[in-house]
Amino acid sequence: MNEFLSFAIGGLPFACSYALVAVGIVLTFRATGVFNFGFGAMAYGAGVTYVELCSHGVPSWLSLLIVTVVLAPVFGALLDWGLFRRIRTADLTSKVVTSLGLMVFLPSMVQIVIGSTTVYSAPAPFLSTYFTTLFGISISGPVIATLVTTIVVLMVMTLGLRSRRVGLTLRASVQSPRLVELHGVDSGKVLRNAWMVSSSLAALAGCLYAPQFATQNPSAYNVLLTGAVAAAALGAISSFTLAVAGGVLLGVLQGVIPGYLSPNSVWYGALVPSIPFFMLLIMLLTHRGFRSLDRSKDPMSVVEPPTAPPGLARRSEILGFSGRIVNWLAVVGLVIVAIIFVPEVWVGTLTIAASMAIIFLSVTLLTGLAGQLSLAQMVFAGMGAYGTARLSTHHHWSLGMSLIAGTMIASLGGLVASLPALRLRGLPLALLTLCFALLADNLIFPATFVGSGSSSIGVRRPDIFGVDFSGPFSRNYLVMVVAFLAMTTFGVRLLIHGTTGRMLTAAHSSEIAAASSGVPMRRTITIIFMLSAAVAGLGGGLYAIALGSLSTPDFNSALGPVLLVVVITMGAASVRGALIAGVAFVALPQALALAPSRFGGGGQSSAITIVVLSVGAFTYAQHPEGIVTFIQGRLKVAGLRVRNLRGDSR
Amino acid sequence: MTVLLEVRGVRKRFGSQVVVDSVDLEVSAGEAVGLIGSNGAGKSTLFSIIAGTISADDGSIFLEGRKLPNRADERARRGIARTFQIVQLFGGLSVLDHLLVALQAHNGEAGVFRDLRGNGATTVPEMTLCMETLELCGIAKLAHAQTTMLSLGQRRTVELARALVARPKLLLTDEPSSGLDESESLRLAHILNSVRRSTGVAVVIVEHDLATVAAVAERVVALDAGRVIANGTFDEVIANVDVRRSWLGEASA
Ligand SMILES: Nc1ncnc2c1ncn2[C@@H]1O[C@H](COP(=O)(O)OP(=O)(O)OP(=O)(O)O)[C@@H](O)[C@H]1O
Ligand SMILES: [Mg+2]
Repeated sequence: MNEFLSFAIGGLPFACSYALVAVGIVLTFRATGVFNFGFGAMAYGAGVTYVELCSHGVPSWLSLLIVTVVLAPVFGALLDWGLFRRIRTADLTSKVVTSLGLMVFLPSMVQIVIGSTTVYSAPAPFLSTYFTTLFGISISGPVIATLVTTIVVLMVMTLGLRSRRVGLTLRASVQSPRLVELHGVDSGKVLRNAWMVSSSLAALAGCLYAPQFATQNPSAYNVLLTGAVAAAALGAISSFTLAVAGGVLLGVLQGVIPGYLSPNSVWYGALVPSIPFFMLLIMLLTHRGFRSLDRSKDPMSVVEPPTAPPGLARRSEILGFSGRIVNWLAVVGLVIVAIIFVPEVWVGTLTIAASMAIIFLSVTLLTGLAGQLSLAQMVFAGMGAYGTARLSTHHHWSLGMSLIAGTMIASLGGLVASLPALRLRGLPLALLTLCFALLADNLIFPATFVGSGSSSIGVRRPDIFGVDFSGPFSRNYLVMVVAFLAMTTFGVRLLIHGTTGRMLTAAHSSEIAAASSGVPMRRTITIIFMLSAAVAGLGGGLYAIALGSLSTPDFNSALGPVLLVVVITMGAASVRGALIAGVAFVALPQALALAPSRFGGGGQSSAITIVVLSVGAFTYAQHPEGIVTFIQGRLKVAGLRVRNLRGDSR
Repeated sequence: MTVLLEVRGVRKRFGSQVVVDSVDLEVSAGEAVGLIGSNGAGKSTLFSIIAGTISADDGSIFLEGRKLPNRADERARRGIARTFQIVQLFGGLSVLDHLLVALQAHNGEAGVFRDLRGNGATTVPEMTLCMETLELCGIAKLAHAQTTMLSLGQRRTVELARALVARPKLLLTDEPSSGLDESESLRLAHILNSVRRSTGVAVVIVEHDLATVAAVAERVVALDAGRVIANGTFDEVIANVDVRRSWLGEASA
């Protein structure tokens, strides 16, 4: 018993952080309809700020106050004012994408601001030297302080929300801000307060979380987010009490489970990260209300669905014969350029860019075409990569065979992932795939039969049909990857402009009408999921071969949201978005690395790239077509204007 | 005449409220049945149950003597088409695209494999059938229009055309003339009749506008609080005491 308690107490600081963020998630979701994926990143920002303040000699308690009472509420108000107020009436997908943008954007932004130096651990905010023994169990001061702070904060908040007026106004503001205003309540203020309070909670969680780690890195805070998501899910993102209970449960399990396992056990590193996933899965499968978060709240919506929103996509007819010829010529041209003209130093970069573009295309398929939000695309890419690497290097399969096998392994992963997608759409699916990615990070890729823990495994670059693909700057290999990219691009285009695209556009706008017209949604979704995973796997396999060695960070789960956000930013409705994203994602850091460090060269280049490429997610609600299409539209308008002017002057 | 649709003892409750209560309903091939009843009588719910978008708690439904599959899309492919009380069109698709979706999905000729083989373009027979249907509904001129630009009457007609393009055996149409003026309602009734004549589709029409019911339906079924209270010709049902009391709002005659 004592042993159990002391393990459990070790998990308490985590429990508190989970509970705080979970409560923040529930609060903003109930008040504003936004599920904020950005809270983990906000906690990271707060944690880093706290550590930085402490290291500059500010007393730790004062740092905590500055971060949670001054900076965080201001940041929350800014978020409300600059971002979420503008998308109050947007659909759930827009809200999800916007908050995913925050999740991707913030950590990189923080890294840019603080510079590339590693941020080390900070002292606990209170009672850092205090120690006591309770019923024979030693408890440290920081744990007590964390616990007391959390309980006090949560109690104050609950009392505030208990007052009927606040609670009702909160809920009414989501349903109809106009109506609330007609009753003389400033609904804008209500929403702003919700953002300020939840931002404070996230910051507090971050400050309490920071001392648990020797160095601050975003992925630890990703774990915080995932835990909080699962905790919030326990109460179907609507109950504060259950959210807190969920947080405590997770934290305690996290303390207890490793305590009873031998560090050499397979389960040691894998069990804890998999708890959020299974908690979420069980909730999603058992809780009806949770499953249908996305559907209209109107109970009548099944019998008499509301009018479908006007779609934004304008479909063009499939390419004619001449169009296809032009396309093929373009590809042949590209391949020739790749063979002859690309300078030696760019061969490696372009190879990686082309394989990344294939991975990006998998997002175009799944999100742009089928409207499914998956944060686990990088896992499928990883499956393809590890499959290819393992089979070719350790089992000496030929390059072609192992690529095919890797692709098939990934598509099987997609098949599994499509099972929940038959019932879930939008937000619940995004949540589940987020937790799944974390699970894969800890359970699948480090396993010895897949990768080899944290160390890297080599990837062979064999030859086929006597053509040599070896060497880091193999032009032959570049040609091969470009050819695969061209094939994938064509396939995706055929789907977008063919019967599938038409069917899915219809289903996206009114699923009931589509089903009543005979559209087989389940089968289509399953096939698209498998295809998309296969494409990601192919890209991953090619990427692995290009890299020449593989280690777990290459397919870190945190990259999944980055993929999604970048493709959506660039435009998920057509293949161009993914192609440009692929090139930009690889070329931009290279270009930045060449630039003088004053302009962001050197160590910050990948952070800057992510910031630049993800910033468009914030305009998604206004411009869901993406930057590329948006600019194209603007250019067309400008072109017309110029033509008109010329016509006038004549 | 052969029985097309057979509904046996279908019940549905929402919470404690029984919305559809042991309903039996038979529709012969090619027949036109009017379904009337006050607001909340359970007409739309019955439609959704037959079409498969919601599941009944009890009872069974047969089409041509065979039990229907569970899912709405499978039922659609077996020949049940419907329109909605609140118009459900596909945003972002042209009128022609609406028909193509329904036609290709119904024939099982849409999907990933067709597209990847490079056959994603619309074939000539598909195009012909769509244009024929649009012609039949009198909106051939709108084929390439975006549906957001259309009037309510035109949108209802597009919905009707979408439902009819795959030549279903049974058409369920939910208040097709609600929100339309008299001449538009009449035009829609006219379209329904001519479609019925040329394709032989059986129609069940839910309608509050008695003129439209009289113009379309050969037989009328009255529903009250989820129960069938009358079944017969238009005049018989309208003269029925229970119907007059429950629906036409007369004190006991
Ligand atoms: N999803 C639901 N949850 C709870 N109650 C529902 C639901 N759908 C319908 N109802 C109830 O079922 C009853 C019948 O609804 P239905 O829409 O079938 O009526 P209706 O006959 O079509 O009425 P109207 O003429 O107004 O269209 C109503 O009282 C409604 O409140
Ligand atoms: Mg109705």
